[in-house]
Amino acid sequence: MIKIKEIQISGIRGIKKNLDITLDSSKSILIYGDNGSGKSSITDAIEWFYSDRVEHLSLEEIGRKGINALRNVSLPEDKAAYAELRFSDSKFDSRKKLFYKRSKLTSEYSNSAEEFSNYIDTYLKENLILRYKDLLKFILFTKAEKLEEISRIIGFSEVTKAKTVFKKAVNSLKKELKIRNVDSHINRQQARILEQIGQNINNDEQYLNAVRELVAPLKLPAEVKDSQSIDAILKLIKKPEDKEALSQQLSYEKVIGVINTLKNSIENIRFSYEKYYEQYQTISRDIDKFKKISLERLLSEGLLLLEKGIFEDDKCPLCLQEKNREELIEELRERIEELAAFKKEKEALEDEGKAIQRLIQSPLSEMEAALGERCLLKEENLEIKSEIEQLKESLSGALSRFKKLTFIECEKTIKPEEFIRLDDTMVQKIVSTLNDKMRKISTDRKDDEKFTINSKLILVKDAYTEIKSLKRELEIFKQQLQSMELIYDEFVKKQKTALSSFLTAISKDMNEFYLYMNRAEGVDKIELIPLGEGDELVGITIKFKFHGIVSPPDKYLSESHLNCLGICLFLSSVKAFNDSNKFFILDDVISSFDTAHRTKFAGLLMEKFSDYQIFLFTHEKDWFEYLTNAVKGKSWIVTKMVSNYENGAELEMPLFNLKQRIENKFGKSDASDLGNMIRRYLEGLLKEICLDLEVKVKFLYNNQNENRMSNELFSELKSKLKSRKCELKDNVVLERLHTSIFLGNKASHDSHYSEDINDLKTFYNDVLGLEGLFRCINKCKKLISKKYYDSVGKVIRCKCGSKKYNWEK
Amino acid sequence: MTDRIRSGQEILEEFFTEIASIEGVDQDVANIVENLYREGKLTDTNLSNELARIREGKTSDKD
Repeated sequence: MIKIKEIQISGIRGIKKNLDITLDSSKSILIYGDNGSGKSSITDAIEWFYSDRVEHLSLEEIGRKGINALRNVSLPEDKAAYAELRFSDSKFDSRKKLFYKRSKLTSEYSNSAEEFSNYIDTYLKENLILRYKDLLKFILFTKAEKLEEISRIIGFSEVTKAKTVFKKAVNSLKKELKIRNVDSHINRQQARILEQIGQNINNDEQYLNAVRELVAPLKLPAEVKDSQSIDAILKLIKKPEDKEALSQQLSYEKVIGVINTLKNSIENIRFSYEKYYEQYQTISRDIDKFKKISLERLLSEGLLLLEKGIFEDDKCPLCLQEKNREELIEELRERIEELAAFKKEKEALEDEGKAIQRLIQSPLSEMEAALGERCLLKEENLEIKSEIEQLKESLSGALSRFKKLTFIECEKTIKPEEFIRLDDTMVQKIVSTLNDKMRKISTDRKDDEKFTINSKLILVKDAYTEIKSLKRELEIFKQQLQSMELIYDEFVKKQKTALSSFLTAISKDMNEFYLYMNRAEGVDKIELIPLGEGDELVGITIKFKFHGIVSPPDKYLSESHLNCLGICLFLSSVKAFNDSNKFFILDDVISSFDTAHRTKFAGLLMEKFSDYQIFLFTHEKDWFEYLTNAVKGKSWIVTKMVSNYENGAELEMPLFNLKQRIENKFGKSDASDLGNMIRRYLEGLLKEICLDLEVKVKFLYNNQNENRMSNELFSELKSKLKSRKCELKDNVVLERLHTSIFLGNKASHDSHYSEDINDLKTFYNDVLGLEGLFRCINKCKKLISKKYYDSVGKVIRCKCGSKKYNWEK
Repeated sequence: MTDRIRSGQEILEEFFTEIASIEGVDQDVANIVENLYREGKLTDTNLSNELARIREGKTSDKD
């Protein structure tokens, strides 16, 4: 698994200059720094490196997923900000630059290998970063949000999507089956057959027998064996002069069939509309809640403001009325969840509405086709055609009224009895007239046996072929529906089993970690429990036993304990999901813990996560000191971070390490950032010298005191040497250094100044010259110090006494 | 945590590999569902269209 070997960051957030964190063989690191010292800039840079976003900066006001706020404000536009990560597996090493390209902020990786790109994608599935402000996020999420978050982490959103697709397919097949109204169409065809031969036909055998019986009087030389032989018989008995009459008969049949089915279709529509109307009325009674759905966005934005800590007062950010912040967050979550439920209800009703529209559209299309039938083109049938058009109008009118229905104007709702009206008398009249006309064609030829049989045979054949086709369609529909239902059921089973095994496993770890930190506090059996309504997973809740009583955590736990639970959840998910990366970042996460819990947390990390590379950032001095002691002798780097306006955030590095790095750079003739490093070395050295010689500088508060510049210290040191009549006061090295400090500052602070390796060598030699004046180079390696002041001889010296100078009182 | 937790992706892979062996499921339906998933096109619209295409094909086969 992958650990980090080195991080280099420049121009990102509070980090102005190159910040280099060398982790040797992927050691863990503990960084102390006051608020604003730039610790979180490291976290931001790493988050951006992997995800191309910074979650806590992803606000609408900032834009572009926080990237617009990522570059250090003083970074010139022509310079690129960057984060470079080197890993235990060097094939993933890459620098990610953030720069302006034609005035557009652009980012680019130096590693373009597909393997690297795949590795970067793993970030989405793994948990690498935990910040203080995210601690309570999951614990206080609504049940649905908890499910959503867990689903995101374990990639369950894709599973949920697939389940939704299956469910929709099942519902859509059911609706389609209803709309097709196949049974009714089969009945219509059966009625046609009954009308012609006085019996039903349910299978091929009955069909062939019926045809045999029908054509028997003609004593044809052909035998009825199958459907092909029926076609042959039809050819035998057809007469050219009958063609028009037979075609008219078939046409009448079709129109009669459509009008006859209309009644059934309308009943179907009414039935569905009644159900729809009932639901619609329920909604209308509480129409205000549906009007409120549009508030969801506003409430969600407000919640985001509060969650991200942009608005921290105990007030409503909109109306500014006094309100406890936590209570407001809780209230907003509940309201948003309620609105989501309304929205779901509304969407379900809208789906029903669409189905009703299709139910109306189906007979409407059939009527349109019927109106084009040749029998209705005859002049004698124009009145009937007009009546059929009226029937069609009642359907299209209902459809258009239905389309105009809105939730807001509930008073315009149409009562079921008024929704669609079918003039039964007119229907009967149309059917009766058309039947008469059709029969008349036969009656006019009643003595023509061949015609009569031919006519019946054509109509029976047409109806039975249609029945067979409809039955086949029904069979395929049912087969598909059954298959999709089985697929859906199996999928739900699989999803439930997988989620339940995941929750059991993660609950086990969470419980173990929590109890490690909170023994004997009456808490036990912390569990993540899936919540379902039927086949639907609707959420996840956290339950635990508090002195034997099962309850949700936010009921009894203090903020500190809830934070602790948040950390345990994060650590459990690190163990569960981080398959590629063996490191994680904890950015200032223990602020609310008391001393006892802090020490237990340290123990938990050292004991259960000793094989992980941990980045631990804190602004708590006592906790830092405790941890410094706890990690002694372990594979940890301990350091501090400071920041000032001139240089931005910097890592305090032991002078010895800094010196080594400066000399390595000279060895490689690499001038980048070298001036800055020498300046930092000089500042560190001057601080040590001034401390040992008790050089006094003007009072400054904490952080500012730490950020004193070299020239201030140097000037006070010279005054001290002068006042103590020390022979060093006129040393030429000090004079040379005065000029070099200017050069060092120029190299560090002036972005237009290009560093020359020879100038820097001179600067560094002067710094080493200064060190040589005050430090014993040969024996004890210590600086001359007031600790070794000889008050009799009025001499100040190093520990071993090899280096000594006059020091008058 | 000793048992390895399966990711959503693994659950999907496993399900779609086994879909054709679910008892009672029509092979044509199983195949279109699996193919749509493999092609990254498993949406309700695509699935409904494919099911309709099969129905149409089977109905006209018999005719």
